[in-house]
Amino acid sequence: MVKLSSTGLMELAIAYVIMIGLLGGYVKYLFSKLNDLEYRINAQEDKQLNEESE
Amino acid sequence: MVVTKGASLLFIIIGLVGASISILLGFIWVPSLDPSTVNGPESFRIIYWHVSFAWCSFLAFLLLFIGSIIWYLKKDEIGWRCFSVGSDMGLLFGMGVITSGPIWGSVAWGKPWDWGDLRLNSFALLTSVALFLVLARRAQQDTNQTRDTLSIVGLFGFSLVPITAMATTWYQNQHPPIVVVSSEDTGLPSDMLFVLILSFISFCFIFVGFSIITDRIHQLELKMENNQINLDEGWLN
Repeated sequence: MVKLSSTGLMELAIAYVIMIGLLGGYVKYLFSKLNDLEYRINAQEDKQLNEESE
Repeated sequence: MVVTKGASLLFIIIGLVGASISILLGFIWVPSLDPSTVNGPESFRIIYWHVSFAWCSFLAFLLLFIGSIIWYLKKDEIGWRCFSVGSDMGLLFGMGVITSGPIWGSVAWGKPWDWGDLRLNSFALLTSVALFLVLARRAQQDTNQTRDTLSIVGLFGFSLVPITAMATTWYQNQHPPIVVVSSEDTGLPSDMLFVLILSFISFCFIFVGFSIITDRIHQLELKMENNQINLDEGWLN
């Protein structure tokens, strides 16, 4: 394994970027999934209401 | 629904701010290690997030364990909800540990992984169990039989937690020993311990925020599935 820096600062930065990416990526996934589900459920319920009224 | 979203967002923001402060304090407040005693003296600062990720993954596996027990014994929906959230959180926080640890190991030990170290390998197995549970939950039909089987795997997964936690006490090879218990060979200076605890508390906020919203997503997925069944039945009739 190649060491990028003698103090380990570069490796530390890479590790933190990966962990921040994991947390940030999960936040993005959660909120986009939640918005998508809410939109689809609203559409389903609208459709159900329309069918019932017909 | 809006309250759930707002509350979880608040938890996540508080957690992220606290976790960011812990990195900053780790850099500007905690002194560097003596370069003559360790390899890569700056890389030890990974401890503030790496350990917090690991402890949160243990919390996730505890949730998974409680969920598995409740589901298996009572067939209660709340048990399955705990199980589902615990497996997702276990995978997320386990991945954080598995990816950051080897990067630090490559500096401190000169190699990213040690196949002879009990702590590393049992933790990797634990994260693999979480990965299996998440994938299996998504791939299999949601029936009581599937839930029973996965709960048993969840119980097996939790049995690895004490082994992983105590691995460095029973059988230390490469991984540093337990950091919060002070003895001749273990323990941390008070400033490092303070930043670590601040980081862990912040990660607990993130953990709670993520858990609330993950559970909400699982509930909405279930609702959507039921709505779809109702719609399909409407078409058939």
